[in-house]
Amino acid sequence: MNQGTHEKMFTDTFALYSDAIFRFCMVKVSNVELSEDMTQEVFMRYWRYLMMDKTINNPRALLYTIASNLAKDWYKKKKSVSLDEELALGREPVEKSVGPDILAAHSEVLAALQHLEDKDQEVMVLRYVEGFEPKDIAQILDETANSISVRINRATKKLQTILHI
Amino acid sequence: MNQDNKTTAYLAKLSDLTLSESARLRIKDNLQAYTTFHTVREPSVNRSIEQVPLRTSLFPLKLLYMPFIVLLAVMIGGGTSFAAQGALPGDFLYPVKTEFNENIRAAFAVSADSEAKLQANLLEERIAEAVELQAAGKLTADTTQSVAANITLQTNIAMLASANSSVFVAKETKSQIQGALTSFLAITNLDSKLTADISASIMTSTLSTGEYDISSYKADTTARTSALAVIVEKNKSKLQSGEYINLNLKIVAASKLTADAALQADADARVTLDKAATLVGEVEAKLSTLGQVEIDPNTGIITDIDFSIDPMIIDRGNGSGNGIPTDPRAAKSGEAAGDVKIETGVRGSLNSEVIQTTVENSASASSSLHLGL
Repeated sequence: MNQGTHEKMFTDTFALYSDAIFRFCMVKVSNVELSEDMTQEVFMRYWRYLMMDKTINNPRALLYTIASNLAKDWYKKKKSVSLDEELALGREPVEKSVGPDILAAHSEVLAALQHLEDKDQEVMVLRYVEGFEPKDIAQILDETANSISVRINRATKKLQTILHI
Repeated sequence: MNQDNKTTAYLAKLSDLTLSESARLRIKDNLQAYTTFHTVREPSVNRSIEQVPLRTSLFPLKLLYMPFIVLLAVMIGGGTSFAAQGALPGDFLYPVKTEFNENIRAAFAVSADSEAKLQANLLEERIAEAVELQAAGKLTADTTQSVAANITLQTNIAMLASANSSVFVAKETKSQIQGALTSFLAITNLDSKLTADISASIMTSTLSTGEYDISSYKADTTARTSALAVIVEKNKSKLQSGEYINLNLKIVAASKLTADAALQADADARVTLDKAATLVGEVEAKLSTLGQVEIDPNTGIITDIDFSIDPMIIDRGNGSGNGIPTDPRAAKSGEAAGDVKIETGVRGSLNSEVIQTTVENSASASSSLHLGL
């Protein structure tokens, strides 16, 4: 494949999945600016894969894998933050293109998800927000489909307890 | 609605969480720049997410400002170098002119011929400076000493360069040196020792004008004549028939004279070769007015300007085949062939003035350093 074909494929992939990757990052780090940067980094790494002429069967799954690994790196680096910094964490975008009610709903769901463990957050967002089947999630997170199903069940129960549903 | 459905519905609210339009555009631009500049295979490097956005978003910005940075450097530094170009002995910037600007000009004179030509030109410049100083009434006893010392030095350099150059250029530069020195003697009232020195230099240059090796003179004239014959033949269609016959006659006459000279004694051969050289000069002059040949004023080297399209150049313009990654957008444009053709035309007629401008520009940045400005 030449540079032109690669670029076309890359642009198409970005148009299709940039929002989904951004959502995934938001669940992981709860900060708009950081998530935007992460999204950009995910696609840059994806481009490097393309450039190495690796065969990519499922670009979507690959993007999530990259994002998940990137989030792990970020957690490793994350140091304890003071209360002030915690307050300054921007969960809302600076430029508001949607109404306050929707923003509030987003904040609420993100806040609820923060009560879950990291791995649970991932499976929940992939299962219920992006609509992946457990076997696809298993591929992305490099686990067995069975353990993913169990994880989804437990996380759902836990979330229901938190939300008093 | 059961519990699980409620949970699903609750989480699904997140699905309309999207990137803001401005962020999307920004990321898209950054990625586009990234893909343009990362075309070769490279191993994936693990970088922290905090570092990467900084570097990547600054990169296009740097590119954007680069022309302005270059322009600024040229404006600040180029000014010094340019101002120095008009400096006279005793001026603050005069060392910049002689030590810096002229050394860079010398660095660009690659061949022995262009070196000789340049050094003769510099001698003329030194003498023109002396004339200017005198006109301004600044030629005191002190300055005369240093000016004359500079001129003697430059004369020696120019004579040496001239001796190393080819016969045609040697002849030309020596008469140039002679003329310059004579005019210097005429305008200045030097003390007797300096006058004697300079007169001696003139004598040497006069003597050595006739001294060059007769066999290389022969070889040089022959080579020049046959080169011109090829060029005239090639451009036959572009010449009027009268002109073509005229030029051919001159070339035939010149080659006959060169052939004669080979059989004559040295002194006669010299006279014959001078005649042949005159004819060759006429043909060159005619061809250069037609724009079919470019004769470099510094070196006397004849370049045949061919306006037909060179397939190699077009290939290079498309960025294929040479393996060097080029801007893919430029390659896609498909206008490469036309553009490149014009460009080669310009390059063909690049003259010494153009080179000199480049020299002044490149001198700029370092010359300001030189002065500690």
